[in-house]
Amino acid sequence: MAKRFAVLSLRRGPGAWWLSIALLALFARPCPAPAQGTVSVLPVQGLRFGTLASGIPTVVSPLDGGRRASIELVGAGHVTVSFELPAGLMTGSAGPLLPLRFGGTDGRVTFPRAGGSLVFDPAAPVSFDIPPGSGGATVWLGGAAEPGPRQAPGVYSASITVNVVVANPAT
Amino acid sequence: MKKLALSLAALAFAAVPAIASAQTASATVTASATVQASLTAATTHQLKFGTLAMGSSSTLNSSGTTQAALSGLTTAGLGQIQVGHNSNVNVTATVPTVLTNSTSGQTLGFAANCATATTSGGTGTTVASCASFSFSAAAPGTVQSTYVLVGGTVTGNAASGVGTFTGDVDFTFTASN
Repeated sequence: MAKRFAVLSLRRGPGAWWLSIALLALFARPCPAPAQGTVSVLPVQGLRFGTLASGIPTVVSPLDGGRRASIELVGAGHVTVSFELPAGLMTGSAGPLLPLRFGGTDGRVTFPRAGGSLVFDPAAPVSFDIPPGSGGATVWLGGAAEPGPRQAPGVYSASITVNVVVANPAT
Repeated sequence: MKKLALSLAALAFAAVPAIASAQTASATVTASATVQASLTAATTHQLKFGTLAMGSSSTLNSSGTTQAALSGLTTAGLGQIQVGHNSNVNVTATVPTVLTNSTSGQTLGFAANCATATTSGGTGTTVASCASFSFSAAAPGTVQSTYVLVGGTVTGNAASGVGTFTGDVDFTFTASN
């Protein structure tokens, strides 16, 4: 009886306000991102064209383990990967430009544990799913360096930025 | 009040949005390449002091108003190395302090002076020291020639006797950016 009285008091008394506020506090909080929607991006290796001679283009295949760029995606979720590709490499900030070219098959995504791979054009975003427990994915990038016939000798470099958007499912 | 409480409770449930959040992350990798320099070197003329009187000295200048001509097959004159390059070049040289008569083992004092020129046997631009100097590529990336002129002074010594005295000046060229 006492228990029933207490419940009634809660419904009809000032406790009803506290119940409502508690419910608001409990449910109105943003849902934390589920673990399966979190992906870490780890740069593993840069794109290495090596030593070039003036006027002679060099191509690095995305399958060339020693020279391709490699980025690991650790986690799971539906991801969209895009690259900010430089037009070329430079010596310093204002040196001559060594042009780069990226073809439509220079991007690869592999799924080490799940198996399979995906070929993509690094000039455009690519989307795919990393299933939970699959161990993530690895993104490879190849490309071509095209030094001109009068390309000045020197050490050239540029940054390639990889952007990853992980879309979490509705909760 | 009860209706209000229930309404708020319902609102609490309704306020839970169907959140479609997105996580973004970025990373940077570096693309790199090294363009190899083109660099060649060839001796086109030997440094020759010619025939000297015993005990007399001789100087051949590689620059200035008294710049000597390049040596010939049988005539005294400057040595010259033609360097083909498409980048700046650092030069080091090992200069002997004496010229040696390989038969008698006698020696004569020796010192070198060096200059660079843009044409073969052209007007020399003196360098501070033959042992270490550099010259630039006027148009980086384009193969061009620079001529290293080598003069020197041989110090006579009658006690060294007669004969042919020789020595090697060894140059090392290194391309730089």
